[in-house]
Amino acid sequence: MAAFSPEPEVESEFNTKVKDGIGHVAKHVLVMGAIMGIIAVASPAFAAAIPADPTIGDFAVQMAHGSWEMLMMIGDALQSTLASGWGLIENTFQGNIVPGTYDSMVMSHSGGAHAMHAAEAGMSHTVQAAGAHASHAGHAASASVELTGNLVTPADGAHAVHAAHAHEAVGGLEAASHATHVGLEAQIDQFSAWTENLSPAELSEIKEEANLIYGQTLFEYFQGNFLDHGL
Amino acid sequence: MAYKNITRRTVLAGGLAALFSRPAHAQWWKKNDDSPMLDPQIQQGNDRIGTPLNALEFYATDSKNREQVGQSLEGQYLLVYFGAPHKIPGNSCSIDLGILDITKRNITERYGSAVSDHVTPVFIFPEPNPERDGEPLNVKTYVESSGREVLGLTMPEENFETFAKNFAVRIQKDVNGAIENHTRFTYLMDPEGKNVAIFPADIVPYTLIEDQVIDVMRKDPDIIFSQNINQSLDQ
Repeated sequence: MAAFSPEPEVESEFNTKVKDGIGHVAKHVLVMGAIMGIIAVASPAFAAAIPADPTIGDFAVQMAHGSWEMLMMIGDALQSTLASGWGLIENTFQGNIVPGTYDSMVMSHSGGAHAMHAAEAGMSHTVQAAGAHASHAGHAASASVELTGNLVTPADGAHAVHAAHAHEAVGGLEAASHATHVGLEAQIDQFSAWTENLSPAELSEIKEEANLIYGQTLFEYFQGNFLDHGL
Repeated sequence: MAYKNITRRTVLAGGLAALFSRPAHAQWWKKNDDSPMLDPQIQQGNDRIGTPLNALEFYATDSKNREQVGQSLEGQYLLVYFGAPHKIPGNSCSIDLGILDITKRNITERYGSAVSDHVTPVFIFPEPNPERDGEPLNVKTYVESSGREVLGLTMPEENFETFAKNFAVRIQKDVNGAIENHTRFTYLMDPEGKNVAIFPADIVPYTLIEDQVIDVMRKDPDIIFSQNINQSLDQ
């Protein structure tokens, strides 16, 4: 994932990662192109297109052809990825998403607000579903009373209990989501305060140690060592 | 320019030979990230870390003098941790010390004292200054209380800071000069003083520390692992 930080170094780390990715793809293009070129030149299927005694030029044409095909394939893949991940990228550059590691992310205040909104929307669906269950149970119960004179059948009772449990679960989710949101906000605040108290030289030195010695990003280093857990 | 002697078959054979002649795992176009550590949370040791402990001016928290401590550390695998003698509000260094203590106990329980006698958890801290920092509760709880397995080593503050830098340990002080915060890594040093692994704070599960220590020690021909204990563990 990408990186955002109050200080520019983490952002430059993200840029480096992107550059590494582009370099990686470029190497694949070259290697795969070479392989396709070799196969194409040697294949009997290309006998009509290529002279019996291929020249360096023939070889280069086939390699270029293979590389181009591979590039198109990768382009398609990247286009799909960008289409699906554009919102994520946009949020990253707007500073709504802060990474913990390159394979996970921590949301900042505004990113967290988006997440909360989504979670709340999901919850309201759950609440509606629970309400539907409850009203269904109630309807069944009243129907049962009307038709049979019994108060509530066991099945209707179970339905009502399920609905109540669903309601409790929604409450738990809300509480957990809120706690997570607040916890992450506090971490981000602490991280910002920590970096602000360091000189650029110190920050640069610490970042180098974190990366080269401890294999961590600056944020991971902070989380593991200087985050106040309140213990 | 035509290469008269090069046939398509030659080109194909050459290409395939180039592809298969390298080891399957050697992906030469990208950085080799293979780690010999047991878990990605554990960082491989770094040459920039460490100073042989028996070459330093320090004294243990018990009655041993420096020479005695230096001798007792020879041939030892050390789990080195730096911290403050007093408890730091909001920090979790007391948890780290507790885990080091349990690590040594678990190694004894699982592999016997013949193996665990080669492992010493070491807590390095500056000389306590109770007037400024309060009671040295970390030392009292995890080093000096009965049956604890962590060896406490202390030294004057200025020496401690220099020494800590050799381990890439970061210390933050308050306005009075008391340690307010510090990094929480644990360094596994081999008997030659080489750093072979680094454990981050809050490693999950913490038993990875003992597993990694044992994994390193198994490669040491001087340490005899009891066949019986190993068999009982495998069952």
